[in-house]
Amino acid sequence: AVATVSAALERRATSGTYSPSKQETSSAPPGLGGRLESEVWTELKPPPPCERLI
Amino acid sequence: QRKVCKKIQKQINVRVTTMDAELEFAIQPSTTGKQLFDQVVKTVGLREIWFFGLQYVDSKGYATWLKLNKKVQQQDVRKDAILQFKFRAKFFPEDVAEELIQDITQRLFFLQVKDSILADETYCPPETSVLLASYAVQAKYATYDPDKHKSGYLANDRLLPERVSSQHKMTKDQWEERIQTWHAEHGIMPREDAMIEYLKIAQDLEMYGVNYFEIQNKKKTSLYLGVDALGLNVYEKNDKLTPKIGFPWSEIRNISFNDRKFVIKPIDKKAPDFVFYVERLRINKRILALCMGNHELYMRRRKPDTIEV
Repeated sequence: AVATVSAALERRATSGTYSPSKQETSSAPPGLGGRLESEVWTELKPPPPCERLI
Repeated sequence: QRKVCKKIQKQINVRVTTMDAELEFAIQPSTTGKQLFDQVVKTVGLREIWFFGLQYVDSKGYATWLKLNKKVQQQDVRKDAILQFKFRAKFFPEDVAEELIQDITQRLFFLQVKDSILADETYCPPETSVLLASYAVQAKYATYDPDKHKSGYLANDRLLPERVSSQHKMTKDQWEERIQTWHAEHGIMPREDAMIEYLKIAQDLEMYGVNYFEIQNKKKTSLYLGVDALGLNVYEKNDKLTPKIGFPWSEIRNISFNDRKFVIKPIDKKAPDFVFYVERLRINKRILALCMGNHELYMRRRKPDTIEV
């Protein structure tokens, strides 16, 4: 089992794949969307909770 | 109100430079990239955070983007007395006038793009360089006022790419005169508007917002791969302006790499795969990460706004 894990880790480390076409939402209209709404964008990355580094 | 740590941890000093400020932080060995990034954007008051990242030079000398989900210390940062990062735009909007809302976002983009043009990293023809310089001057000096802006007022400003100022038979004074003429043309245009006008012109330059990578095709021919907001492009070595092949996001089935090999598979089953090789595995990881980030933003822009009832 240990060997499998390390092989998997190694595989992850030296290869990668991404499929743009699979990500497309079928409901997305062709062409440009309207003005980007700040709220929509903010959903992408919600404002971080306050964190103290020190 | 200091957090009490169970263990006394050794603090690490970090310096982050934005395009117009220098910030210093102390972080813990356990601090993640995201915690540091959040601290930076909070300090500068930036909310349009999705365009930006923290860049550092890794132990091999490559400029690298800090991973947000990993501890800062566990990445290949050079272990100097102070860890150095640059806070920079990593992704570019498709249309600056539509997408950049905050003043600070506009200013950071303006300064970064201007730097890239003046350093000749983004090619800009001479005439356009003069026009851009005049908007930069408007952004700095505001309305042209002959009483205040006497001859020579631009003498200490870096206004044009070296390539432009040196290739033409014009003196420094003559260049400044031409820029001054344009400056006067801009009238009472507010500084913020001048920055946006600058970006609107710059974003049409062929090299604007493109991340170039040196690649080799199967025949061992050296080429460039460009990753930008709209997809992938392949360029010949001597021409970074005109793509030889273009792969818009909508035409890519998938992209993948295995070690130093990278494959772009088109959706069109009849079209051949495009295979290339890079010098190091880490470059392929970087290409894929940039593709994913750019494509995510591309889709967001095209998502219909959900209407909350």
